[in-house]
Order: sequence, then C-alpha cells, then structure tokens
Amino acid sequence: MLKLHNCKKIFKKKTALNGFSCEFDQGIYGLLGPNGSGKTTLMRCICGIMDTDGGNIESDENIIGYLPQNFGMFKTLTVYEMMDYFATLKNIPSKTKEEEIKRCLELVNLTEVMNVKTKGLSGGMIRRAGIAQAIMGDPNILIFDEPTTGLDPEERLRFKNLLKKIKKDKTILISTHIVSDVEAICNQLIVINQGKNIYQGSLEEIRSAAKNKVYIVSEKYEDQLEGNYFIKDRISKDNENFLYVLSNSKIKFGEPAEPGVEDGYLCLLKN
Amino acid sequence: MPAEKLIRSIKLIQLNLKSMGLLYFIPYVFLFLILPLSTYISLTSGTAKEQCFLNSYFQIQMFCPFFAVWWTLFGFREFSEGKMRELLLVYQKSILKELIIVWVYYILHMIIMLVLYLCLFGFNYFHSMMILTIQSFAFFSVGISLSFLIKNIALSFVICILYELIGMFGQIDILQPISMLSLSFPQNFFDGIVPYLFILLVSMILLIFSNLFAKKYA
Amino acid sequence: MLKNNLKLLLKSPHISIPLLILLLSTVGINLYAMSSYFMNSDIFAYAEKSLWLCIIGFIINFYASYEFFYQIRFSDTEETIQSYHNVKNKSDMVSLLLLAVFPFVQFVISLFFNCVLFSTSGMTNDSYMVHITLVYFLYIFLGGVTAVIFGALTARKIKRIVAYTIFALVLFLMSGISAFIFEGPSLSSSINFWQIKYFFAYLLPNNLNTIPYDDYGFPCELYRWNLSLFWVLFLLMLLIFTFRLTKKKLKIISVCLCAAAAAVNLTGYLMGGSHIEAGSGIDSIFLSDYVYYKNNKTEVKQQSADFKITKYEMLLNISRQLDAEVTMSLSDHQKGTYLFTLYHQYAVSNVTDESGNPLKYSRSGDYIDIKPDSSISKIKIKYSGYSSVFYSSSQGTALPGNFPFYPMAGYYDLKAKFGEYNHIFAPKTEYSVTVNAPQKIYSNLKETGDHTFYGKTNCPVFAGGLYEETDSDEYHICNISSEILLSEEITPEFLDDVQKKIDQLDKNSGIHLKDYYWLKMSLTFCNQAFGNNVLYSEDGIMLSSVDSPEETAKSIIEQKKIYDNAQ
Repeated sequence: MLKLHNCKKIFKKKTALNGFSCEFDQGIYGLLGPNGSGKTTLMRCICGIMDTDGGNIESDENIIGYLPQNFGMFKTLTVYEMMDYFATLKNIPSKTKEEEIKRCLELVNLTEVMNVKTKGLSGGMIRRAGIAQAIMGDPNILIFDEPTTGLDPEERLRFKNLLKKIKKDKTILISTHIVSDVEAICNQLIVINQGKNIYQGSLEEIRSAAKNKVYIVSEKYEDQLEGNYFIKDRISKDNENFLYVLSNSKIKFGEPAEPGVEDGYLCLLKN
Repeated sequence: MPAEKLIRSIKLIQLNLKSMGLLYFIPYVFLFLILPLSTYISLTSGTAKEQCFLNSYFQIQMFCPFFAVWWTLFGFREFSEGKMRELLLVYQKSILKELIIVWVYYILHMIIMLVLYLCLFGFNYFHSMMILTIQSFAFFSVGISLSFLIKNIALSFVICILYELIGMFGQIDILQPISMLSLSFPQNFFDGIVPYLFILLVSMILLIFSNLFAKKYA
Repeated sequence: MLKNNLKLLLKSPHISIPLLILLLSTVGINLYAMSSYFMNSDIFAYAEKSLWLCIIGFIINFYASYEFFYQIRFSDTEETIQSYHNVKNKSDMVSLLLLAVFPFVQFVISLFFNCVLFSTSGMTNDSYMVHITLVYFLYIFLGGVTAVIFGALTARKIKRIVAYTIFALVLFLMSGISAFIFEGPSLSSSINFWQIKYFFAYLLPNNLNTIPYDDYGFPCELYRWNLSLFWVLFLLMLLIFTFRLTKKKLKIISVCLCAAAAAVNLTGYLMGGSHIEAGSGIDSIFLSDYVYYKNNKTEVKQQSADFKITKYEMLLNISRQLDAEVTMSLSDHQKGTYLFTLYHQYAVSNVTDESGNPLKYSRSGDYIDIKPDSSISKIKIKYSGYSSVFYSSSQGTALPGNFPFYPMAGYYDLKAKFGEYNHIFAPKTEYSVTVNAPQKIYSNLKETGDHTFYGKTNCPVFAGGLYEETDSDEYHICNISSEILLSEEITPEFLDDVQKKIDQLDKNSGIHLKDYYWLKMSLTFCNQAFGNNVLYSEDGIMLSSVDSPEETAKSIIEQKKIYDNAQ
C-alpha cells in the first residue's frame, strides 16, 4: 500500500507538486499528464530521491524498484557486472545474488548479452536492463518513469508482456504520455496536471469523461466551430477530409463518435 | 568562397568561446592584469630594473604559453567529449582550422601584452617572441592532440598542468631535457632558437597525426 | 560495495591508468632519488626528490576522484542508485575510502624506500625515520586525501570546466609559481599577503627546490598538521552536507562534529608557531627582521647594565613556540630601572618579583625596562614567542646564548646589518635550565637530569633536532645526523688538525679545543644568524663547515679575539 497525502514540492519559482493526494493498492496504475505536469517529480518523491516540501508519503515497503526516465549504466562494465553492482547496492544477499541476477535478466531477455559491455547495447536493451535492476530483489512497489519512450513497437510489446508476468501482488506505477501504452496494461489511471491529481479512476471512467464530447466533423465546417473545442486529429476518408473534434458543446453538423481513453484524458486536461 | 568559409569559421569560434561564459576571461586576467601589475609593483618596491626585466620574462614564460590551451581546450570541449559530440561531428569532421585560428587569436593577445610591457615599463620582449610563440604552440599542440586522442579534456588539461608545474617550473634535473623554459633572454629574434625548432617540429607532427586519428576514428 | 566500486574504478581506463602511472611514478621517483643518494650520500637530497610525489599525487588524486564521482553523476545511473535509500551515500563513502587507498599506497611505497635507505645508510639516529614518516604522512597521505575529498565534493556540485578552473587556481596558489604575486605587495605595504598563499600552500611542502636545514628536516610543525586536518575536515563537512540522508539528525551531528574539529584545527593553525620559512615571504628567515627593523624605527640602544645577574633559573617549554619563565637572581640590588634586552618577537606576559608581586615594566622593540617600587633580589619574566631565524618548534631548536632568547642585562644592538645578528656576550653566570621539548636537547651546559641542565657560562646554547652526540674521550661533539653520512661531521681527527693549525698560526692563542663543547650547525643557519661559519664562546663552539682545518682555525682565532675584546 502506498499513500500520498497533500504532497507539495516547490523548485525556486515553480510548484511541481501542488497538494497531490492519492492511494495505491495492488495493481498497475498509469500516471498520465502533459510535459511539466509533475510526473517525474512525484515519482522521485515516492522513491525518496527528493523530499517533499509539504504533505507526507506513507509506504509499507522498504524497497522500491525504480526505473528513471534517463537510465544509464557504466559503459565499461558488462551487463552482468552492472547488475551485480545494483544487486550489491540493493543488499541482495551474496548467496542468492547470482541466481537473482540471472532470473531478472532472463525475464527481460538479456541473458544472451550478459557478458557484453553496456556500451554495446541498443537503447531498448538498456531500457530492459533498467527494468531488470528495478525488479531485482522482488520489490512490491515498482515505479517506471516513461518506460516506453524511444522504444520500437516490439520492445513496447515486450514491456507490456513483462508487466503482465510480474504484476502479481505488486503495486506498479507507470508514468507516460503515450495513452495507448497504458490502455493495454493499466487497471487504473491517474491524471496529473500542474502538480495536482485531477482525476483517478478506471479506464472506463476516464473514457466516460469524454462521453458526448467527441465528434467527427467535415473539414468544410471548420470555420463554423465555436465555443470550447479541440481538434485532436485530421483524417482523410473516401477523398474527403474530416476533423476529430472534442467539444464541450454539441456540434450540430458533426457526427458523434465513441470516445477513447485518450479523448477522456484530453477532456480532463482541457477542462 | 574562402572568405565565406573564414567568416563561418569565425562565427563558429565566437559561439564556442561564448559558451565558456566568464571563464573565457581568465587568460585576460593573467595577461593584462596579474602579470603587468606584478611587474609594476616589483618596480615600485625598489627592485632593480634589470632584475625586474628578467623576473618578468620568466613570469611571462610561465603563464603565456600555458594559457594557449585555455580557449582551445575548454571552448571546444564539446567536440572532444560530451553528448553533443556525435551531432557536431556530423556537420564538421575536423575543427583543426578553427583551433589554429583561436591559437593565432591568442598569439595576438600575447603581442598586445608585449606592446603593453613596452609602453608601460620600457621592457622590450619582442626578441623572445619566436620562443614564446613556439612554447605556446607546443602547449596548444599537446593539449589539443591529447583531447583528440583520448577524448578527454580533463586529462589533457591535467597533463598540461603537470608539465607546467614540474617540467617547466620545477626545474628538476632529470626533467631538464624536456623543459621548454628559456633561462636567458635572447639577444635577437633567432637567438637560442635551434632547440625550439625541434619542439615546433614535434608539435606540428603530433597535431597532424592526432587530427588524422580523430578524423578516422571519430 | 568495495569490490564493485573497485571494479568500476579499474574498468575506467581514463581513471585507472593515471592512478597506475601515479603508483609507477612513486616507485620510479624513489628509485631515481635513491640513485642520486648513492652518488652523493645525501639522505636529505633523496627525501627532497621523493617529495615531488606530493604535487604529482595531489594533482592525480584530485583528477581521479573528480572523474570517478563525475562518471557516476553523469552516467544516468545516479538517479537509480539514489532510489536505493541512503545507499548512494554509503556507496560514495566507500568510493572515497577506495580512492584514499592510493595516497596511502604512495605513502607506504615512499616509506618503504626510506626504510631501505635508512637501514643501509648507516645512520643511527631513529629520529630521522620518525621525522620522515611524519613528513610523508602529512604531505603524501593527508595531502592526497585532501585532494580526493576535494575532487569528490566538486564533482557532486560543480560543472567540469569550472571545477578544473578552481583546481588550477588552487594549484597556482599552492605552488611556488604564484610567489611573485605576494612578494611585491607584501614588501611594499608590509602587510603579510603571504598568509593567503600559505593557507593553501602549506598543504604541501613548499620550496621543493630548497634543501632544508639538515638538523631541522622538512617543515612539519604542529600548525601544518592543524592546517591539513582543517582542510580534510572542512571539505568532509561540506561533502556530508551535500548528502541526502533520511536520518537528518545523523547528518546534523556529523556536520557539527566535522565543523567543530575543523574549527579547532583552524584555531591551531592561526596560532601559528615557530617555523623556518626559506622562501621570499616577509616572514622568511631572510626578510622577517629586515622588514621589522625597517618599519619599526625604534631607537637602537647600547647601554651596560648597572646590576648583575648572578643566576638564571629557566623553564623553557618548546612546542609550537618558546614559552619561557626566567627567574634572574640580582646582585647589587638597587632601586631604579632594570634594563634588559629580549628579542622583540617574544611577548612578555608577566613580570614579578621574588614574592610573586607584579612589577611595572615597559616594552619597546627589543628592550624591557622594569621599574620596581622597592629593592628586589629576583625578577621573574614570563614570555612566549619565536624568532624566524632562531627557531624553537616541535621539531627543532636553535637557541644560541649570544642571541637574546632570554632576558640579557643591559641594552644591546641586536642587528649589525641585514641578514646577520650581533654576537652578544653577557657576563659569565650560573644557569639552571629545564627544557621541555618534543626533541632531545643538546647543550654546552651539563645535563644533570631529565631535561635539566646546569653550568656556568656566558653563552648557553640549546639545540634540538636531528642531532646525535659523538662518543669521544677527548672531545664533546654533537653532529647533525645526516651529515655523518656525508662525512661532513665534526670528528676528533678534524679537531686535532684544527688544533695543530691553531698552534701553528698563534702559539699564544690559549685555545684548547678539548675544553669546548662542539656543535655542528647547518651552513644556511650560520650564515643567516652569524654571517660566518663559526660562533665562538668561552665553552662552546658552533661550526657549520668542516671543509678546511686551516680556515676553521683562522676563524676560531679571529672569533676568539672578537670575543675577548667584547669582554
């Protein structure tokens, strides 16, 4: 269990966290928010890298597995040596260390490159190694900060499958701004904006935030759009151009569409 | 056109040196403030003019050649190491031309400093200009070559400092053969120049070789 | 954790190779220094060459430490490690300890070579080994550790080129290369700007081109230890301050402890103490008194005393400086003013009579005037301080009796000319002296007990440092230990030759060398103190050169004539 109550974090003139509160039980949570909304700051506070300037964070667990946004390794060490380094820092007993390293590398499919220097790894492999170090020691809380950014589709799929493998009895928090990633993995979504928790709920609940607000409108009516609206996409279909619009007010000349999670997320942000 | 290329190089140099911030001015502090000021104080505190002339000559030798690495090493650090290196090398494989321009720019500063000494104190050090230039070139060459070869500006800088403190200033007997310090003031432009020609040759070879190495194994 | 950090260090060639070169240089420089020792048998010349390791070690240790911690900070690993509660700080401390091993290994290697040299040289004075161990520990080890902590601290907080700029500036201040900046302003203003330089420069032995006084050794007085420890503790305090600790109390306690210890050591350093500064600073042996007498144009006086001192009872405590209590028994008691000469650097704290009652006194330059209200039989003066030439520190003492390190009756002009002191010979009187010093003290007075001396003389000499007495039935000789290896010591054979020359030159000289206590002093000291090679007094002769028996004989005869005339 992880509880955050009224957490605040201020950097000079910017308030990164502004009274953020939330409770996390077992499951996979997606943390959605635009750039600069406070996702990374929140995660760093949970991991203890930063102290909050207000509020408190309660956790039953001593060990948290963390994969930061910018994860790197010492270029001159091999993958195994790097894992050994992390395992030592995590106080994994010497007797079980080797076994644990191999288990984690196997889970992320890096066993073949165990003895390769980290400078010879691709971006995806480095990220996988980062996941391996996060899950070492079998922590019950896992925090992943934008784990799929920069990964190819295959790697992203691999990541999703890995999470499904390890999620049992764990609290996993994933921050991202790629909505499609969290759609596939997460049970619950939290939307953060300007340091505040503006929404927490299931995927269905997020979708419903955009109910009756999504329209497909022909491009010729673009000039006639009024009120609070947002053109999410431009689509071409049958040689005609259409706009995918989110709007608070009804659009008479538009066709209502079924909202997705991303639509719900955008509606929450724009509101 | 050559003129355009030169202007482009100068613009590149200007931007790189600007990235140094306040540290750009460190050579100015030594060349135009500390050294002349110490000579002035020495003269006014009663030191004989001839002694002062020689002391200042040694001080000039201590600092001027060493600072030839300052702008070239720190100003262009991103080309040797750092995250931007990969990107910069796409646009410009070799920066040797720009570095040499910066070195010449530094030599101009040295000339201005010597003019200052002549005007303020009547000390004419121009006979040592050749020696000072070669010493500066040697430091410049070693600093840049090391940064090309080992891709680490810090180690290059540390090696230059070590040589300055121990090889030149330390005057340890076993290191005398590699000391560039000129112990007597030359009577004319080419006086005592022969050993320095050897230093110049070695420095040039080192620079060319390291540049080729850097281009090939970027 | 140690194993992992070691692996990381060894697998970072841009760090491990320079450290390896450092260790190889340590061996190489020691071997080279040894080879030069075997050529000329000068043990101090060997040690002086090996001390060049200090500056090389300082530079490379800083570089290695900075680059190691910089690598961790900028490898995008730091954030990951920081999430492992407090482990980052433990890991950093382990890394620091690991890096501190290199200065330690340098220290051990240098010490090993010295031990080999010492055991094969034939030197018998163990004090030399103790001294060299302390010197190496202070400069090679502590200097290296300071560099390591400095590197770690700057890597945590400061960008690369700024850090190396600061480092270059510190090196500039530490090395002799910056001497010219402080020389001119200090001389022209008489403000001692050198103190700014010393605050950094004393971390390493300055003036590595200057061979030290062979009886004094390399400078490692108490205040230098204070300075080194101050820097280590101060930088450590700053480093701990940068740590993020969940247990804030622990952090506060650690920072406070370091701060307190640093403050104590800083105080110790600022207290200063007797030392030999052989450079061009205004507190150097060459300039200190020159600057004083130039700036303080106190009247030079010469006046005989109208009283006699029948006995001196002295308690001399020598550690950082000389703290003395001197009781003088007076004869021809009179009312009126008692005139004394006491070197101006000794600050008088208390003047009392035989009953302990305070006496009125005034101090002006080298002179003290004591004005009792009634007749007194004894005067006790407490004073403390040190002379830049006639040192009295934890590692050496040079207090010849012709210099007013104790109150002398009457006024004397101390300085004949720049760089030399007048020989002042007080009337012969009784001395009972207790000297408490970390080193063994040698004197022309007879040693009557533990640290106590007694005798009648007009020039009590106290010397301490790297000396040893030579056993001889005929002569009392005290030599500088290292000069014995160079065959530059005073030997009975040499003295026999000198005696023969004296007898040849002047049959009626009345000089019988066996009647004197012979003390060998270093050439620089004698030149600076006396302007010549011989200091003659009725029962003791201090000698700096044994090159030529004839020249020595001539000097002795000449000095005796000067002495006799002065009486």
